[in-house]
Amino acid sequence: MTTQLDPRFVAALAQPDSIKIIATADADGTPRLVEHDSLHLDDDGRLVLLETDEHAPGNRNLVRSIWFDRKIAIHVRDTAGRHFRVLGKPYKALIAGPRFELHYRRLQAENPPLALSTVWLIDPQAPEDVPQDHHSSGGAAGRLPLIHLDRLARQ
Amino acid sequence: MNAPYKPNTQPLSYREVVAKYPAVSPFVILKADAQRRGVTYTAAALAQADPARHLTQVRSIFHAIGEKASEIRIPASLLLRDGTSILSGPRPDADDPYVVDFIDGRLVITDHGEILEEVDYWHKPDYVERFTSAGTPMWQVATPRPQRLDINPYSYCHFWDAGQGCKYCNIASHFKNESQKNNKPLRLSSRDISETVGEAIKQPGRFANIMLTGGSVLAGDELFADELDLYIDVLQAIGENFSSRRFPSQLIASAFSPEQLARLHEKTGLLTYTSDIEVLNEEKFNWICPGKAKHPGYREWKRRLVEAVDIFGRGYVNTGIVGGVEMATPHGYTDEDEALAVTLEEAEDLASQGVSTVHCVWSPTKGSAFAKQKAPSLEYYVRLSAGLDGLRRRYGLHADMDNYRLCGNHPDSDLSRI
Repeated sequence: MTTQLDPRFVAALAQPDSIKIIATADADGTPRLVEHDSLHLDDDGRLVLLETDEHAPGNRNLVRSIWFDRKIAIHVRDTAGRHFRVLGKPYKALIAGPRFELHYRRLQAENPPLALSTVWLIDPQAPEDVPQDHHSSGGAAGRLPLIHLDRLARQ
Repeated sequence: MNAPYKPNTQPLSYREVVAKYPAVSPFVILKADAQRRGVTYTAAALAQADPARHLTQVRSIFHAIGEKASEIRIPASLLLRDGTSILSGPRPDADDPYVVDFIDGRLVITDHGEILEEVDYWHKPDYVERFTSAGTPMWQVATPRPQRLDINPYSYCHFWDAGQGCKYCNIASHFKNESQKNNKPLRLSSRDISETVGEAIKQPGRFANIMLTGGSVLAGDELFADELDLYIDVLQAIGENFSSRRFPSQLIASAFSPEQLARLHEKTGLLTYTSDIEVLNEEKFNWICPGKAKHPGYREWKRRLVEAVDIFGRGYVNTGIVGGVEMATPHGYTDEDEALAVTLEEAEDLASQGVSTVHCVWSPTKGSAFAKQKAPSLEYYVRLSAGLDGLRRRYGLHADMDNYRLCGNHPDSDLSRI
């Protein structure tokens, strides 16, 4: 893996209480956001997601993404309230094999009612700058700012 | 007699088909073509097949791998990155196979030197190294796929007794060879089957379905009665391993009567039922499957499939066809458009009555009457797959019982993942 990830993003992923969301697109383009507590980095620098619902629309979207080489978005908010966003592409869907079994066993031990459908390996692509001040879009660099004149009026 | 099938133009290559059908998964297109053309391995690729980790011994009713310790171990089959299986059994007669190679630390599938995709070999489950209480190696009792356990309780088809077997099928010649060379038994013991299943399902997450199939047995008080009794016995033995009344399972068997199906459903924990009608046209069926044409015949086969839906439920009954065999010479279709139209029209008739159709990719097999024939183009299989998938969507049928995970053989049901 060659994509350099922000160490703060990596740290955020490792926090058990951080919020981790995957954004995919349905067949008609409708965005779909799903929270995935399982999201973490493996030793190769790939994102790992444990999908427990074989028939979930989000899982179908991941299949669509790997089939047609489409990106997904990963958004993480750490416990200090900082936001991080990375684009990614699904690289592999493990439905069998030693690595699948390892995660299956762990999941079964931690949360017996849950069953593992797929271990998704995701290649992170470009990290995106996410302004920590959520009043700002983060897209203003090099643009003419919109300023309503009343804000500049002499009082 | 029809003239031999000749495509009007040069068939499209894999890349050209992918470009022409952008809404169809390139992984599924590759799977269909690899199953159509066959797969071989370079020495470097074979060196990566580790018998301690990978599945390199298979005993099925149509082929065998690794029966003797002296044989070169070839991988049983392949997995693509997205979880799609390529069933790549030995095809020594393939004239233009894909080639699996090991390049830059990766196993890849190549076409005339071009790397198309990464592949993985199927991993070996724990049970295959064990033995039943009777001393039978468990790998000879059940064959694993990535998530499915395949069991062939009966390895011969009695349609061949009078030479009336299906012309694409090598079950009879294969059994004759294997019984002589490797002492393969005609019938597996139900006790061996039960013990093997019990061992197999100990491995967490390894199996999500059990499939039983074998040759047709016509004998008994009525047609197929002995075959039914055999499967009831086997399924009851398998059922001893489960805490639930029913368990994820598929029986691919002859066209049992509604009364027989009711008994099968009541007496066992079987979940889904398949009876392969093989060719979706009565005239071609009568030619290609002369035994099935008599017992019980095309129209009765269809009727029994529809009746089965009332017993097993919608989505729990389907039929398989040998996709492409409808173009075999000399009496098959000579035009792919015509073959596709007829096939999909019949498949729609079944879908409208709750019966889904899945197809395998016909690969002319040594030991079958059609061994020297040619399968249709890749484009045909893509259109057939998309057509069957489209029918299921139109009629609200799911392909779950025979999908990429619970089976792995059918390009059309692979498409149902999205």
